[in-house]
Amino acid sequence: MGSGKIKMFPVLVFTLILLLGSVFLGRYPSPFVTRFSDIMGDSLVRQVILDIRIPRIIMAFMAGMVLAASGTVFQMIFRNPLVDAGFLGVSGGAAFGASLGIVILGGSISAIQGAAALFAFSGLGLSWFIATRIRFGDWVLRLLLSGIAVSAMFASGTGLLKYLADPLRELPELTFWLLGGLWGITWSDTLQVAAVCLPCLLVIYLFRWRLNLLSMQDETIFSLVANASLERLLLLLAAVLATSAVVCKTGQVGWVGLIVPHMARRLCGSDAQTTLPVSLLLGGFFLLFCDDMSRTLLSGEIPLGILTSFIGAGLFLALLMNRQFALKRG
Amino acid sequence: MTLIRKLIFLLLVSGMVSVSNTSAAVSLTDAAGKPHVFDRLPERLVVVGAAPFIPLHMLYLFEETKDRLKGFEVKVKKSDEFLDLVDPEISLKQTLDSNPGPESVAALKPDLVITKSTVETGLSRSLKILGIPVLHVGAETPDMFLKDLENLGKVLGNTKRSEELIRYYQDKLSLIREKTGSLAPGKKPGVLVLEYNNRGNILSLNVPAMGWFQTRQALISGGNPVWLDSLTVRDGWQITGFEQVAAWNPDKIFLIVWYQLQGLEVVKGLYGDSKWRMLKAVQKKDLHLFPQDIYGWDSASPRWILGALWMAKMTYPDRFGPNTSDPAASGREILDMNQTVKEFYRVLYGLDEAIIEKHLMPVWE
Amino acid sequence: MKTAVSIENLSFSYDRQGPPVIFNMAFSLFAGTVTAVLGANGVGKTTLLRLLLGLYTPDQGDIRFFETPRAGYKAGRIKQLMGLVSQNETIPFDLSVEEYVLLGRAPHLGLLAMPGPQDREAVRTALDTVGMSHLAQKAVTRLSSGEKQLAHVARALAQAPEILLLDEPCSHLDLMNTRRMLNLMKTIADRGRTVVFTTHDPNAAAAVAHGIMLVKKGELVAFGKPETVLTEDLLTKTYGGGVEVVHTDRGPFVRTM
Repeated sequence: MGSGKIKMFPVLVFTLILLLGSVFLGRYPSPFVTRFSDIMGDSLVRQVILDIRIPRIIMAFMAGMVLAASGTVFQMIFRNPLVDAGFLGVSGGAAFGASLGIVILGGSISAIQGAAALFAFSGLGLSWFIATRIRFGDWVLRLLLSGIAVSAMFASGTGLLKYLADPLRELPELTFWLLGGLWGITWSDTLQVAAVCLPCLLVIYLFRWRLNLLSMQDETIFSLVANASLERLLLLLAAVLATSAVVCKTGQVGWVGLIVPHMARRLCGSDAQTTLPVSLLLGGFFLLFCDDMSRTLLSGEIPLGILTSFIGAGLFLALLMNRQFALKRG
Repeated sequence: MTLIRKLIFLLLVSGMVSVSNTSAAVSLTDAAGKPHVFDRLPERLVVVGAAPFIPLHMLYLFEETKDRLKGFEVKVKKSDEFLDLVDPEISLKQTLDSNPGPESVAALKPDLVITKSTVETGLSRSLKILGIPVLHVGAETPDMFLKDLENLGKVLGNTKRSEELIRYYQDKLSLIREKTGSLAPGKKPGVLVLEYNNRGNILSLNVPAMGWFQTRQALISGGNPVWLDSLTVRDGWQITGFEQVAAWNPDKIFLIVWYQLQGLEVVKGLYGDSKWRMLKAVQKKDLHLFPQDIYGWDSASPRWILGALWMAKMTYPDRFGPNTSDPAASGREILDMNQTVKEFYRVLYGLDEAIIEKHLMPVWE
Repeated sequence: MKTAVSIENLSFSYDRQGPPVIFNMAFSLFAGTVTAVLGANGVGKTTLLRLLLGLYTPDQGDIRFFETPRAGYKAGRIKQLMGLVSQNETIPFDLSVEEYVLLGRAPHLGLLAMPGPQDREAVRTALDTVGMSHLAQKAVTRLSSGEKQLAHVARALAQAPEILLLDEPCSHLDLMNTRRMLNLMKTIADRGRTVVFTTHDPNAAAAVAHGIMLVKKGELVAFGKPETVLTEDLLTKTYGGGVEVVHTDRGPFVRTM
């Protein structure tokens, strides 16, 4: 526990620096850094900061926290370092819902986000329902299999909608949504998401030590925990609810839920008591960093999902190949 | 008062009225249903959003645009050859990369942003929060298009010009209606608008959706669009195949060929194809290539009226052919497409004949 | 001596139509004793432990702990009461030994409680008892199979249950560690707890058990003190093969012929 706690401190410091620094990054009035003189001199700069940048920064950080936390929850409960919340059809459902919103339901913001949220949840519900119908394998296998099937189903639906989309108007919007992005985020978006995500994150945070328990094999868990299914369900629901809320606003942003828990584990070991808070910070940091680049590097927005995959994959490779970057164990 | 003094008085009054007209608040409702009130006419316009060429081509119908347009989003790296003709100095304007964020748009300091959409987009919302008004242009139906022109006229302070433009469109539409409107629906020739697409070497045939301009053009031009009953998708091109085309067996086929293919080659190929030769339209030599100059006449840009006129003429060649009833016309055609094209670009864009003949005459068969 | 575990009429099968895996078992175990469950592979030893734990529900029969039937206990209390060390336990993430053993404290912690100094003290004691204190910071995934087994037992010790069930605890252990494990079980029993372990090695059973159960095809063939139960007759009945019992002054010694 000791060494893990020490590692958390520099992460916290870097995160705070990034949070503060992001406020000064943007494209108005000029690309990249906004100077104090700009802020003092131009009221539009202040408005940009308060109404465009700050809600977006908060949203990016929150989304990163949620994706990392639910990735951790899923990996520990499914005892598999290669899963994230998307596995139970949540992100596939959200993508399908958003495509439906853009191509069929008129393309208004509420249609897109509402349909995304609705189908994210149906993805989970369907996976659960199908899993209860499978007759072989343990519950982990059943859930994973049905999750994969449901995700595939939604993917083909999304593919169909892409094919039918108007190449002038809808297809670009759809493609952009599928690649993920935080453009157009307003305070009301951020507050809506916070209302759902913060309680869920709190639940996951409070139960973080129990995650260690739930990653053991079923028999052992049974001998130690009075109502394991209930705890598991609570954690999974919290993870999925938060992820759905985030994904319907941000589009599909991959890799965060997969990689950040790994990075946290390499830094601090596998004890979720330490790893979860570190995942939260790293996830928030990572997504905020990527989003800052997405809105600042070019005058056009770079889809967030592209950056998270690119940077995430790169970091992951570096991590895997660097022998020194591992917690020293006696 | 003497006559001259009366005249001077009237002139002064009308001058003051017109001045006060431009200084009174301008109010309108845009294509997304959003109301706008302008106390001062905007001086810095920026165009962003889907298919920027459509609002840009509409803006350039007004001469005020040259000065007031300060920047626009570019979706493809190639410059718009048509706009280069209309405004040789367009390359001096600021461009934004595809999908700009609100900050990038704000950096151009616009006082009005124009975007093509019938719903409020995320960008519109963010810009509104920053206090930058966004005018939505719809251009999805002829009526919407004319309303958009009216709005643009108001916003640019030149309602005289927008009225002139609207009159032009309405005259042309009346001409078509007059010549084609009398037939009962069952007697109208069956027409098919077909998009011939060779994306990634996979051939596809598509028909336009119900709400689309191409469908409207077919309806306006007096034809009976044969594909409307089978449309299942509200929006977008619907995929179809040769078998369905044969089942419809329309009287006229209007083929839209993606600009990367050689349109005439494609048409020649189809005329030589044994399958297609079985179709009524091909046998009667009524498979026509939809004309395009730099832009196709089937798009929602201002040249859609040319497309509708052309389709009307192809659908009813005898009604738009040589004018036999008017002796003064001396056998000239009621609708001479070449003349119409020149008139269109001259009246609407102020281009002179030499330029039109060099760059903007379509590829006829 | 109080009765820690008493079983009456216990029967269980995995599905309704199939043959019973446990049939009509009945026995009583006293607190402070070590009981060994002997039998060939697949006779239902592990199933019996799982029935005791409550992982499976018996088709019929009565299971009581300290005179109270299972249903009389709250779910949380049962977890404090009984612990299990499984046969092939897998740990998917590389917790340290200390962090892993800490998991044993779960039944004593509320749902939202984090382990405190009391719990860490229990972990330290448990690691001392099994002799693994020097490995406290090592990742469990890097332990040898013997060390892993001891870590599992340490976890169970930290849990401090009244009744400790162990499924083949000596299976991966070398000679010295087997000795250590058997002594450990005796020590635990001496402290007043009830230990039940399964094994296929009659000599391990003989070395340390107060009572030995012989199980064949889900039925109890015999139950009693080692001298009484480890006879050639009963053993042949249980294992079906040729076994020979040698009587030494330290107790019976079983070998195959």
